[in-house]
Amino acid sequence: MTRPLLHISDLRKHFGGVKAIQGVSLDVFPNELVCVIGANGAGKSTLLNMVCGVSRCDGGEISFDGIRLSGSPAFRFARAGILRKFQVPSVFPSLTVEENLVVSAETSGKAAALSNLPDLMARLGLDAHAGRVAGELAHGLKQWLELGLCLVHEPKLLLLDEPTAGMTREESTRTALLVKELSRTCTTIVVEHDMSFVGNLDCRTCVMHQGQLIRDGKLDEIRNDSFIRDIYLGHH
Amino acid sequence: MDTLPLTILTALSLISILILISVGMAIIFGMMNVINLAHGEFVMLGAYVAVIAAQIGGFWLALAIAPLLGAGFGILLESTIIRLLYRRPIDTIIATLGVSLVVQKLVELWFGSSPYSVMNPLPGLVDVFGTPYPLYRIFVIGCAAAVLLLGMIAYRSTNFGLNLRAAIQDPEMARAMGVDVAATYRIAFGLGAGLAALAGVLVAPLTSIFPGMGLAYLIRSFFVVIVGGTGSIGGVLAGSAFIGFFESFFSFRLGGAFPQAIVLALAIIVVRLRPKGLVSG
Amino acid sequence: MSSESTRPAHGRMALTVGIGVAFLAAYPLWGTVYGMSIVQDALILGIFALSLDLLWGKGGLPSFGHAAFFGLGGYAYAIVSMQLGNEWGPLAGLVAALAICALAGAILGVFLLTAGIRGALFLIVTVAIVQIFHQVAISWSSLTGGDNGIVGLPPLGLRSLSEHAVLDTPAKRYFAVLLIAAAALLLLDRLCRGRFGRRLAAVVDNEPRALTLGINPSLELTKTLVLSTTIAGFAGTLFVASAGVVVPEFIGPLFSIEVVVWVLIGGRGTLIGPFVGTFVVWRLSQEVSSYDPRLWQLAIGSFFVLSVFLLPRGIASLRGDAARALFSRVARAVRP
Repeated sequence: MTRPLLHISDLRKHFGGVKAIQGVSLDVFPNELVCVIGANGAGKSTLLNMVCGVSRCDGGEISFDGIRLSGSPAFRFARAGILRKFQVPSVFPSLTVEENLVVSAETSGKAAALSNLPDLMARLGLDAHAGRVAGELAHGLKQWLELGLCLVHEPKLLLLDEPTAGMTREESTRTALLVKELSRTCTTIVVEHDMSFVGNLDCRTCVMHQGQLIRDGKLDEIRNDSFIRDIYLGHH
Repeated sequence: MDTLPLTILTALSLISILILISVGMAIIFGMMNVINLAHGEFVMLGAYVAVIAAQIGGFWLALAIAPLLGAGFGILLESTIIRLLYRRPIDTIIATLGVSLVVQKLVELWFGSSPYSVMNPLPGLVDVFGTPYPLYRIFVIGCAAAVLLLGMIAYRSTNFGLNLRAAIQDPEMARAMGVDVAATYRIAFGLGAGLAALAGVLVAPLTSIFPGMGLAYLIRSFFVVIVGGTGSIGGVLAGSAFIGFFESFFSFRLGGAFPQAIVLALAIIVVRLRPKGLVSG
Repeated sequence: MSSESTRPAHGRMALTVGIGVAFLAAYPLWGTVYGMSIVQDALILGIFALSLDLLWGKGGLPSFGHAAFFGLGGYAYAIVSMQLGNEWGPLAGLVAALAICALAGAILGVFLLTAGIRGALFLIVTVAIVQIFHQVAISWSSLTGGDNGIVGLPPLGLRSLSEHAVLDTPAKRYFAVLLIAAAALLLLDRLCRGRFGRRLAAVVDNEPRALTLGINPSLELTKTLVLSTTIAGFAGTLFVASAGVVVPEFIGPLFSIEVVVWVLIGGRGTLIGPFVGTFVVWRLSQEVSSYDPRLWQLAIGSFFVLSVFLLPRGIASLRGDAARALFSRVARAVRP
């Protein structure tokens, strides 16, 4: 039995009086692909914020690769290998596409990152846009660029926050294929809303509800769970 | 240590002045997020009105006129410049800096750069807890307290106060409910300016008056709002108490500019430790 | 790795600087001693403007109190060199000035930047800081000479090294400052085009993204601040060492506003823009002030106010894009 890559234990977070995360525990193993679903406000994004270090924990702990990370500033999480793709694509708008990736490569501490850039850009369909200022890119391309910023680091854990938001059906399918391919070499946690995308991924699925992790298992089981159908799938 | 009661009493008059100046700053900067680098000039103008009034022969006249003039100038400033720049903080800073420079120089051209002084209109000492204390300072404290009380009552019970609270909390919602948000901002700005001008009149007999005197009050009022905490009158009180007390305290022991320097350093430390201020709104 | 960039390459900057240096080096052939001292002062003040453009234009941190560091360097030089009084005075003074300004920047960085204080709040603190420094310079007369400042400052150099290694003639000062200014401009430009500059640009552009990519934004901004305060202090040292005197005006709020004007008019963020802008605006202020010193402040004040109406996007937002676009259009016309 291998040691979990990401170990979350009894995580808690509150904003004022609101308990956003109430005792979430989760173990994710190397090369796993995990999907986290849940209604709006269930705590999915907050959970992701804490796993990448942007939000401090009010209780519980997060360990990654055997090292306790909770309480550290966010850049330590990134340097440990946890990279996050945001829900609204977050890139460096006044730098060009190429400069964006170069900055990320230089920060990654990975010797080959810079020389691998042309390959990466081609793979993500960005090479044609290398000189364009990132702020001017169309939404979909920004998503790819942001993914590129993360991949440059050769992450050990990739956190994707609603990766298909704003994408067309065709882009969405392409993304599902990419995510599945990525997860073969890189542990991935995907937070998603789009159930057909989740269906495409067909992986271990966790359900968040009111700050708690209420289900964790195969997608089929989740789909057939009447409680889940009532409180989540029924909302849509 | 019998200088402590005296320190506290002296501090109270400074605190009162700071409260008057900072209420305007609290609304403008604390709640509307507008940085007005010309706020100190309202104080300066109030002081010069006192100078003129004293020459005509009536300090008390200044108490009535200065706030009106200050409010008028504030409304003018808001309706011509500030209004255009609500979402552009750096531009507001630059524009109001420009106004500050122009006003200072115009005053200098008119009055000259040599300092003026205004005679104490209420000379004499009063026994307070066994310590002789200047009557005028008691007047200043009383005046500030009265104005503050009036202001709080108005804020809570008038239509304008209600409109202001709504406009600050959620301008869109307030607009949808029929509140003339633009006019409310304008009046609030004017009120803040008027209060600062009043403070200028009150402080005139206590200090030397020169065109650049506003800067020190500008900085103090910013820190009152930042240290005290934006978003509440309690913040203004706490901040004014902090800045006013420590400045008075150090003034007893050190001369020159060191008291101000130390207090500002303390304020920066507080800002660092509690970026939301002493009293969270 | 090629880059289809609209920014002038470092090579073009070097060429421009080279031409400028050549021109100014030849200037003494036809210029007067007075003219040379004007150019020299403008060059030193240009370095000061560079320090602010680094902090504000590149680092996104507005400072309306930057004379605090210019003056801190000047006073440190004055006090240390006069205290020592011997031939080591100037060198020790220079080292002291640089060290103290760097330390001040570091303390501020650790105190403010790590707390996430940016933008307008940072600006207010800088206004307060220059006010503090100014008041201290005026009050602590036993140390600073009060209102009158300190006179009789020794020129920079080291007499024990060689009789000639001291900047005691106008010609030596002129050429030394020319070289230093050119070096400062080129080095800063290089720095901002390299790893450090890219990283800083990322932090300024999107701090949360930089943070989650493993960059420590507070550290990068603190490095920028320390570099900026040190360069400002260096400019201050050069200025007082050649003027022979330091006065509270050098560490005051008004002078801090002046340098803001130079940076804004020159084109915030372009480095060379503020450098050139200093010369133009500073000369203009000298001319206007010779009629009536109060006129200049009125002029700047009015300019600030009018700029709000005439430049709808505001002067602060003029990040030299217009200058850059023009430059690249010219460059493209030159290259077939």
